[in-house]
Amino acid sequence: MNVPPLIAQTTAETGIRAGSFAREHVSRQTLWWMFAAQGAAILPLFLYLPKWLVVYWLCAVVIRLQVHRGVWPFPGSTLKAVFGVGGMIGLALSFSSIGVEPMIGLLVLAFVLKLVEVRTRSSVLLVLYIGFVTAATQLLLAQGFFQSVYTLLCCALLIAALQSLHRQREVSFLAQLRDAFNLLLQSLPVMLVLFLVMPRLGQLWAVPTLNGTGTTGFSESMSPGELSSLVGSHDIVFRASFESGQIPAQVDRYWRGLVLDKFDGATWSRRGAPWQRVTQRATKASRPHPESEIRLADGSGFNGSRLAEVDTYNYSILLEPHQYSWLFGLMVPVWADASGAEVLFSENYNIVSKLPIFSRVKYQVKSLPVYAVNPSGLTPFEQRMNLLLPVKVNPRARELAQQWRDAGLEPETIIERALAFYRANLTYTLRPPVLDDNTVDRFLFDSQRGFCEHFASSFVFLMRAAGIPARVVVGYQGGEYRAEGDYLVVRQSDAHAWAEVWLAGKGWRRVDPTAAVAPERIESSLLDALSSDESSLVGGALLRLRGMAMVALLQAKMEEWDYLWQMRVMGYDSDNQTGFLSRLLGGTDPWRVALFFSGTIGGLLASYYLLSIWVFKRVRRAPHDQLLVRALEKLARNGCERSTGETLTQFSQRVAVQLPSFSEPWQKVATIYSAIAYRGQMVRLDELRRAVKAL
Amino acid sequence: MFRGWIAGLQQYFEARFFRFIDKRVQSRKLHRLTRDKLYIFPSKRGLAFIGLILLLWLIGTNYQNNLILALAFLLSSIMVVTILQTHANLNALELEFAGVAPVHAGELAEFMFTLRSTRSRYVENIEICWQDEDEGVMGVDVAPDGSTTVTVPSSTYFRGWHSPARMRVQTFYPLGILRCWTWLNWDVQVLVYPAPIEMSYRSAVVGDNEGDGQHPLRGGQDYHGLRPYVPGDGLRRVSWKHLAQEKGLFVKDFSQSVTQERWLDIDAMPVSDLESQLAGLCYWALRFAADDDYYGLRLGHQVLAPDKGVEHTRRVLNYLAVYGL
Repeated sequence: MNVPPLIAQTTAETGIRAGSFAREHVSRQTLWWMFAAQGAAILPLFLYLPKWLVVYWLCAVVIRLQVHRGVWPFPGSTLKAVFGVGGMIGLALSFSSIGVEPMIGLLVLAFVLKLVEVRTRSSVLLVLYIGFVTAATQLLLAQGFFQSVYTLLCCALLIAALQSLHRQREVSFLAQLRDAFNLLLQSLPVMLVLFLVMPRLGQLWAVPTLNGTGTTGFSESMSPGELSSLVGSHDIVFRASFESGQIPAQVDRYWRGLVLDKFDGATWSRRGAPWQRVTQRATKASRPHPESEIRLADGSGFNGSRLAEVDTYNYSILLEPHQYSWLFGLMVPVWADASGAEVLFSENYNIVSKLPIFSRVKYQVKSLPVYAVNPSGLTPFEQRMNLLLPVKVNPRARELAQQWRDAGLEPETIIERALAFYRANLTYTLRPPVLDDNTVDRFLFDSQRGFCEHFASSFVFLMRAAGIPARVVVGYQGGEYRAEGDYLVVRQSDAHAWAEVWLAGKGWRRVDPTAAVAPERIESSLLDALSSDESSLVGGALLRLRGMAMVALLQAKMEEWDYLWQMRVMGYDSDNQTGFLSRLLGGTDPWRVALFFSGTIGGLLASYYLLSIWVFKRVRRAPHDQLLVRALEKLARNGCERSTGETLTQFSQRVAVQLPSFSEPWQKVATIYSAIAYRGQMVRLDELRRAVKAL
Repeated sequence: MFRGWIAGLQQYFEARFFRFIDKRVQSRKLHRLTRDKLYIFPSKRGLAFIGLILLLWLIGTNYQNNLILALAFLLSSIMVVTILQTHANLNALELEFAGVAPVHAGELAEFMFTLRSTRSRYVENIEICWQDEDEGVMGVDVAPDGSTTVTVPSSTYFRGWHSPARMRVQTFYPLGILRCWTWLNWDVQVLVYPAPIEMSYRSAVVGDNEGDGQHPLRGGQDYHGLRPYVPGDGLRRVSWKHLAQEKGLFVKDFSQSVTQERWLDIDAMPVSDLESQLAGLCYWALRFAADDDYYGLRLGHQVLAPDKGVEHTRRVLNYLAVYGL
């Protein structure tokens, strides 16, 4: 049923059934649009899915093209079944667990298989609808600004394909794309209004989480060399923005992540069995943990009820997904909240999330800058846990600590002595020698070169040996201040480990042996603490070269933009909404919102309506008259104007004399025009159009 | 039982709806589609689209993902804009009756309409058909400020004057998720001649040319001329040669000519019931016309003097079509 293009515009085809499509035939053009839309929709997903799916997709496209060219027949049901079962087995082998990625894999597989058998318009429609879901899936896996733009482009392609499906005439690629963009751009204002005013609900039910991407940052244990491997990474861990100008000084930016208080002689790890979660015994973060004891600078106790009265750091943190449960914050956090996650406090003053962080999350924290925690004493159990050391390891370090103890020194003095020892003997380096057994001894007395994890780990060992409860804390130290957005950027290379010791009457205190050895690491940045030949090991080294200044600037700008996007668009939650609407409307009463909503949408519709009235009411000339006027204008430009009252015949004679080169085409125009105007041959409009064009 | 109940309800509402339509849309020869005649509602595919939006909203809410929510809002917004575009596609379109040729009972009467658009954009993929004539749906495009002639076929069953039912004009463009439609009543009718049935016949004046030139009416072999193509014409009769020479699209007309003269009498038919008699007369009238003979007609008191030619044949067939109605 392939009619050659007759007169370009006047095609009429009989259909099969009304109500359904008038034609089930899919044009070649529509098929191409469908390929393009589908390809664009699943392309980014291939980054997260097993690579053989790409091959699958290419096979499907080839089969489909060959079928369309008539080289191969449509694949039989056996082949399709083999294809489908093969894909399912492949997915089962590629994914071990049930989660979001296998689901996405299944979606893509179905999507690809459907492509092979697309024949009718209804199945094209199905493919395109699945395409919209696939576009949403892209956003599930990546939420950056560029990803969003890309998804918008996917939508444009899908709309173009849909339009082409419901269109009869063949239009050029560009015209089709223009129409699709037209529709898309017209939709943006209403979308914006919806985005701003539609209420956001919390999770309706628990959903499987994404778990394909690897974990980043440090893990639940710290063995030598673990943190120094992070230093090579320039990736952003989180950004922190503080309320009005209270950004803490560089030396106070200790972002606590995890407390490690179990030592097996080589590795520090969390207490408890490996299957016990970080969130165990954690409580809701709207108030401090019940087992914690916090005293303010004046010695009065604090339990969260007097939050408004005390001075706190109020900051929000935008955390990149790191697949772990712990969050970062300054000591000592007394309140925390997030809209996209459930935030808890654990008993050792850490902030944790109920579920691992699989997508960017923004949370707010209030921390007391001046404090004393557990000053009145530790429980016997805690006391024991924080003094426990494996027997028979590191005898020399034990001996040193024992000397201090036997001298009857106060804990504070012991700490001073230890730090003095560090200052005098140890060097800060990114390339510490590898140590096998008795790591603390070998580090303190033989190699004497190490990174923060060596310092922290050995220091805590010394303290415990000297009878002072102590523990290792890992997290990040520092952060680069960004004036443009007034926030701090903390990168993987800022990973750090330090010690916390417990002193009677003062509670847990932070002691950072690294600061004693390499103060510039803490006061300015890691780079300043390193010799020039080691600085290239720190992440982003390439960007620090002089020639790469432009690239570095560009990267900073991109990160900047991405952050804005995150905070403004991705992070637009009910709180922001409330704030925004009250700024805009002077309140968030339902009637105001409803009025704004109906007002804006109604306004848009009303303007459209008025415009359409104006357009439809305009008296228009008959099409053939318009064409004639155009033709006469052409002639007038060439110096032959029709005078009023002159008939076409008289005018034609004049043209023959004055513009002989135009005479013949003009004659044609005049003839066809007369046929249309005086003999009602409307069918010849196209002919007239061509004739006028030829003039 | 339940299904019957639903069907009854549906019928009741349909009947009410059409009563309402008939009151509002007068029968005319020209209709301009205006706001008050057009109805718009999501199609089945549109309902699926709404389901899709809900699905995206659910995903976006459960994963607390603002961008997926934004996508759901974008699709909702697209739906709103599509309402306007679908409506604008039909709005201000003019349909004018352009003629219909008489047919024999059982054939399709091809009503021709001219669609005129005053929009600055293409009017895309308008589907036109008569009510309950779902086999004859026509898809038409109209160029900006252009016009198109479209043939809308209507089945005929009995001789006499035939008026088609309501006409449905609808469109799904641009995305197929909304259906904008209208029902039009037309003041048009077509004369349906009896269906010709071949039967033996004892004529008082039989010529010597029996069994000669017994061709069916259509598709003789003598090339008669060309006429411009009208949408709906058979492709087999298109003059591809002229098209290839880029002279335009024409259709070949054929005819036959032989000479004879006869009388057709209703009482001379070998059957007794009126309809069959008329069918037989019709057959012979066509035979004579094809042979280009002089022939007359007697229908009881109505007599048509012998004559020949297209005009005469038309008159004879008219008599046969309306006799006794």
